[in-house]
Amino acid sequence: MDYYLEQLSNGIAVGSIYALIALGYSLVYSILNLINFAHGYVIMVGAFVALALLQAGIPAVPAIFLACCAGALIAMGVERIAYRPVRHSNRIVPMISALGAGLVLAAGAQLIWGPEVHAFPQLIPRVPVEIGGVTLSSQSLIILAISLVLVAAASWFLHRTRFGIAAQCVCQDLATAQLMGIPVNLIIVAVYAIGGFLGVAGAVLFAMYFNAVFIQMGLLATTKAWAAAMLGGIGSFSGAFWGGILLGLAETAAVMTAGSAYRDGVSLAIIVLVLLLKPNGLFGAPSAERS
Amino acid sequence: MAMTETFRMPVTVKFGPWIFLILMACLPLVLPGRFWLHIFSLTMIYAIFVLGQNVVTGWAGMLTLGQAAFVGMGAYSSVLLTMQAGVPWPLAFLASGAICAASGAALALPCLRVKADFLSLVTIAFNQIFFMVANNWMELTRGPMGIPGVPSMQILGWKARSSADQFWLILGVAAILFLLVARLMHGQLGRTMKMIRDDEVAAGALGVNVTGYKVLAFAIGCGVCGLGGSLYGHYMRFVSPDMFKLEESLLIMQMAILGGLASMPGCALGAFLMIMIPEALRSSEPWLITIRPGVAGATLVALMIWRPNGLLGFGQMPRSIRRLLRLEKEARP
Amino acid sequence: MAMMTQKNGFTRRGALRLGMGSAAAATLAARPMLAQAAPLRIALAAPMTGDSASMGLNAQRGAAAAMKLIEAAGGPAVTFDIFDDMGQPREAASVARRITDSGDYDLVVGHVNSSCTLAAMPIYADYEMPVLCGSSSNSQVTESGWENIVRMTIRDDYGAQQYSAFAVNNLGKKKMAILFANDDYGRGLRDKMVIAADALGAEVVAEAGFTPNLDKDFSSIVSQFKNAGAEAFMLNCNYTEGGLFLGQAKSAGVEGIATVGPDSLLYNEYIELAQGAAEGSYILAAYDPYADSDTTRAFMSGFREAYDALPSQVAVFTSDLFILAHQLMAAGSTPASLIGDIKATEFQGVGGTYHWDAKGDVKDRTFAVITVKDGKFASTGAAVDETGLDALR
Repeated sequence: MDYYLEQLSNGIAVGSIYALIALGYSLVYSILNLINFAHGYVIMVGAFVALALLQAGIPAVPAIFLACCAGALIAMGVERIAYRPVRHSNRIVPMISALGAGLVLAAGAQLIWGPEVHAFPQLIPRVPVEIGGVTLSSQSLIILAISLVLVAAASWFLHRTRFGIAAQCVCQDLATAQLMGIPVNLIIVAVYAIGGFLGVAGAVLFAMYFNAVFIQMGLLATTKAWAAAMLGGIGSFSGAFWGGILLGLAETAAVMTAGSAYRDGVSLAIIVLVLLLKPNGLFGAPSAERS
Repeated sequence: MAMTETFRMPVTVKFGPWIFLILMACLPLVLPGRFWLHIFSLTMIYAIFVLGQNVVTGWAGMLTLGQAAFVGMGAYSSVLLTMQAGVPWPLAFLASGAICAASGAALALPCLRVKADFLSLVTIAFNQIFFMVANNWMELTRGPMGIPGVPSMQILGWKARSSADQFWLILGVAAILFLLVARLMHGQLGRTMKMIRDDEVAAGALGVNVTGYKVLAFAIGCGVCGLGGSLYGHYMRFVSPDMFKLEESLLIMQMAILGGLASMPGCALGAFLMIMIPEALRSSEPWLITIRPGVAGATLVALMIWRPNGLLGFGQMPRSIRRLLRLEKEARP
Repeated sequence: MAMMTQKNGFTRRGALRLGMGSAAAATLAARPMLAQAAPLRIALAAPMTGDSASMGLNAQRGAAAAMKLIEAAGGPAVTFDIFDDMGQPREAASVARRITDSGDYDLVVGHVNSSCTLAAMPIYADYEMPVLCGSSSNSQVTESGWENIVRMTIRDDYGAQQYSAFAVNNLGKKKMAILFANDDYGRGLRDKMVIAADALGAEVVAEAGFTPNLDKDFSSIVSQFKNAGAEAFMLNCNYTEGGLFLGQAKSAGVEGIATVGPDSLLYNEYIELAQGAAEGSYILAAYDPYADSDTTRAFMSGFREAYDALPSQVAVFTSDLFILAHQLMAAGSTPASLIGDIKATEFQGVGGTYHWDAKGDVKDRTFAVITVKDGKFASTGAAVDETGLDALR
């Protein structure tokens, strides 16, 4: 029994990290309907920036905040260079140019920080905590708490502020929103920036939990975030959160039952099955298809 | 290859592909050494993959991101059939196409009632699952060790031994596939697919069996990839799971977009550029080696901004060239 | 592009008419004359970008370190160019054609990934280009009948026996949990280890494979191993995943379990990533970085000075291959005779003494047992107790 509870806690810890990464991803996805391959690469660079700042001796909280800001800036740059010029063409085109931008970011990161996997300092105490006879890592509990707080904050921002409501308008109908006088370009840039900011926060937690920053995080994070966002339902914050948690649990279940070599395949297969039964994701509202 | 939909083809379009084919066939006689021959052989094989992707994405308008899985499935089927079961290569080649077409159709069927992006996620999942199976089914695929010593293509006792032989064989297969697909896509089938792509609801209202055509597009696209995969496996004379990873699918997609969706010559041009650009940037200077994939990525972004519908996508050619090719009167799709 | 020009004095048409086999012969016939006048030209094929880029970096550093030793030793000059195969078989095949086609190189050092070596070998074999391979451990590399290759790394069947024997005989652990990278390297070791464990009377209580370079989450594997009551962790993977695994085990409260792994763990990052949990773990290295020899000491100190890093297996093997080629060429070998000469020679390099069998595999290598002590690697001087392995030979 303990074993299963322990695995459950593993799954939740990984899942809450996926949730944070998926959050920023879902935001861009829901508003621009864009499979943003650059997202993972942006937050990978953000995690490297955080590491560099920490190594330069800057205290943890400002360092991570600055790294998140750097992530927001890079995301804005990607929007300006690789997204805006091709916004009006076939929607696969921005996807491809985002992928190209991701390759540039990956090459830049390798040039600056080298190809090795870097260890990330442990800022959150890593002690085994016993709750009711189950050993949990203190880190996973804190990560869960942080991601809950960030998800709640982002959700409040999108649903309760003027900006958030404007962003939702853009999400529903870009052209109409523009006609209504909403500064669409500004909103899109801001959405990218928030996505990058939250994503880097997730990536730093990822780096802390796994104790590693590495270039391949880029594609890895994109596919995981996308899968989590699809599972939860695009455009829904709580959906992205639960999608992330469920993805983490599905992966753990895959390791337990089929073996860790089957992790990605089994967890993706679970998502596919869920989506076959609930095409809009677990928490998404049904919407008409947009081209 | 023809790029217009009119029934009376302009002269340039009618004879262009044949002139191109003859010029290509002369390449082994003029190219120095085997490296360039290899690059062109590789380009043609990838052009076949892109053609498969294009049938699904360009003509039928479905976004798939897992074509490498079908390429891999074709390569593995063909290699295993020839090496384990002793099937002659031409038969194994056709069989690998059939296997991929069938599994493509089987994959598409349940997914089509769901949202468009779901299909891309499913195909990514399929790619991961294919990789996983190829990596773990040791008895069949030898797992991550890969299968070395794959025999070269062989037709009735004639074996493609030299690079030039392989080049000509691949050119022949590619030409046949391109002509076949061009026939299909410029005929009733292709026009129906385009109609579904452009307005699914209207097509359905006109009594078109939308799902049926989509599944058919999937079967053709995946079948073409499977045939290309067979060529790839026997040309490389080695297959291993890491040749068919998700990155490879993304590369095929990049080629298709760069060349221009639903464009026959675009398939070849996209494949050529995405193979040539990294090859041209190859150098021995360590920092240049490091940024090589990044420069390739930046070139891709720049080309996409310059020609958002792909280099040879419709409405993307400069007026002068269109007039030269007598395509000027064409309406944009 | 300048590399593509033909330098061997036969015309294009001529090459075509001759057919490829004789063209290759012509290339080789033209080369010895060049080799004596010009410096020894090496093509270093390694993954400089992509998932295994860190191995390529080590190959590059090993080559650079070897160049210094070669310069100091005198003899014919050596030049080398790096060819990036990205760790992809397709790129490796392109690189191989590029190298053979240019006619600018006397020999190839590489590739690193087995899949790349296997994809490139048919092309090198056509040209009878000598290939000195460092780290490709797949048994097919030397079992496919190619006569133009030698390699440095110890085959996984022999390695797996040694690691298991060390855990069972030296450490007395009978319940093993195997962690392996699900690539040809880790998978090959795992398969042979299961056989060896059985022969030694030990039990594999749990095993887990992961996708290398992608999976970084080992928490659920740790729980699995702990639940199975493992007494020894057998790590068949690279330093990254090995270190992360131990670090994550520690944070889950699993500590102090005997750990045995191959020399792919022998990186400073292993200790760093394990966050203190690597202390006391054993690494069985195919070369001894702390060996009591002048060559090794000179190489180690030079490498540490230049890069502030421990040379990895890839670096050591690349370096040794450069020095080996240089020594033999200085002694009068030609590219055509190089492979045969290597197989007949006994070579004293940074990584110890090597000799090769007819297929091109190293033979009679012993493992150096290295442990982590006070956050640093240290030699233990222990030898593997081989009791019970006879049944496998």
